[in-house]
Amino acid sequence: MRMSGALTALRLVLLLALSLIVVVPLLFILLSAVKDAQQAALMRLELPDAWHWSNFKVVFEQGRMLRGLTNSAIVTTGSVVLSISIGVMGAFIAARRSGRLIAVIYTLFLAGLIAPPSIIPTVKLMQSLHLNNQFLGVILLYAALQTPFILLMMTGFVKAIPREIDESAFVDGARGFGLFIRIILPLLLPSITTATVFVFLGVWNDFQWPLYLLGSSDMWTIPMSVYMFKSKFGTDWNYVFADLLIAMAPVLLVYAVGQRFIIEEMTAGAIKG
Amino acid sequence: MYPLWLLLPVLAVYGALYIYPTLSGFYYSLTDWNIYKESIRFVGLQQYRDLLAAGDLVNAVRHTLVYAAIVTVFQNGLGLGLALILTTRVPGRNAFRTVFFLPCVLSTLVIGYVFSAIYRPEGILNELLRFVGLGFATTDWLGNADVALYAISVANVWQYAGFAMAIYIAGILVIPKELIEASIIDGSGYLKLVRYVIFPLLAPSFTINVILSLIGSLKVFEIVFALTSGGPGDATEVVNTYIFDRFSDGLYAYGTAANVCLFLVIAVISFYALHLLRRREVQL
Repeated sequence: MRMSGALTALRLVLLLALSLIVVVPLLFILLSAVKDAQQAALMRLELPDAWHWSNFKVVFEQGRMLRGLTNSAIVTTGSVVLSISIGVMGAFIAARRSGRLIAVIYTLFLAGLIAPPSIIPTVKLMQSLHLNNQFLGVILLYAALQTPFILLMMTGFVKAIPREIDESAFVDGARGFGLFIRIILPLLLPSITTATVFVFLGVWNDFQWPLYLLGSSDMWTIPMSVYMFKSKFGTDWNYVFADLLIAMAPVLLVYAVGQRFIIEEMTAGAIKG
Repeated sequence: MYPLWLLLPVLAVYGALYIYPTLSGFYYSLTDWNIYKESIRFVGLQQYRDLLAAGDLVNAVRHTLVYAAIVTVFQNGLGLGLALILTTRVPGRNAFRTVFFLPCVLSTLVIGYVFSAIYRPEGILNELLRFVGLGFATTDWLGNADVALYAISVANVWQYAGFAMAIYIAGILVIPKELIEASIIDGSGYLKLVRYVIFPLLAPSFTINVILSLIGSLKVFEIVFALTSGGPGDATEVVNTYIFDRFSDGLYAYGTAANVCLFLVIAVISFYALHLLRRREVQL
């Protein structure tokens, strides 16, 4: 018994040490964000000499964070709604029909899960369609890039719903779109939340596409505004850290409330997808 | 009962904004498309010959492969280790799980900037090394061409090891209790239990994790962009930062040819890895 007690203690020490590796960088950011510029530049892990909470206010205005948060909310909500509605509807048909055509379509989406998009032709296509610098454009692009994951995952979930349910609904007069909306969609809601968590985090955190597509500062999402802030105030580390914290805050808040749910949904998504 | 038109919206969006640009990329890579030209001309494999002759793409591919190998190995090693510890009887399991998982929900660009501060010559990593008496090991982590790529991969592992951990935990928890109990009654030690019972039965989780970390790290862009933008010199240039630079130069066909090369690298590696991993799953 003493042996296993020592072993548990050893494991606990190891876990605590590893947690410090995760927590210390974040704590360092938090402490440095409220220092003055000179002290922040020292890069020490220590308490601020004076707590400059007003740094957050300065950054929130200078970094146009409210604009960034609003833009991110628009783009993310739009992408989640569009990609999930068209993806789930497509998955319903892909799961219920069979044949060559469906097999080809399925393979096309499978390829999209692995193959990287061709970036420059995509950007040029968006520009020639006047879809760059537009929320609608990035929303459509995110939908295109997220649908392989949604379609493949949801096809699996639709297949798990017995066909007898469709047939009895058919006898009651439901078919096509009506059958999908009234019968299938409600049954899929739990797995749709999984897809939502995935698409939400993927789009909210993405920086690569805004960098290529959102040139106008009125359109910048949060990561883009962080990038611009860092380029402009790169040496005022206290402001940079405050900016990073504000950028992290919404996701941190959501995570603090629903961490268990998020971990479960993301794990489920990775396994099914 | 199942009208095909319900598939049309997703096909239209996916076809127009993913399939079409990706396929047209193959064609554009065979032209002289760039920002200075009014019209584009078919030039065959010229861009690929130039890429090979210049050698910098080969360099970027090599960095990408090294990076992907390091990230895949350590992310899975660490993730599996954490999962094994956190599925034993240890106090505060859920709290630890929450902490380790946290970084992967944050923005990669933000994580990159956090690490760019930590890695500075006067940053807290060097401070820690001096504190524990390893002062000789301190360096400018991102300015030293010999270590910068490794420093970036560490930041990536820091962000995603907890994600791998969560998938392994889910895999371990579905292993039937009887199997584990049977081997404990057998008297086999914990290491043997891991080696002969848990690890083989984790094959599906292993496949998912390896494929996800491979594909993700081969497509790496944001963390490299935030930490070094490919520098110092081209010591940490990866394919996606290379493409971004060529885009900024206005060398569209040239950058697209590099993109096609990345496409081929990812396709070959992930199909080969999937083939190997699936065969292993079947054998077990």
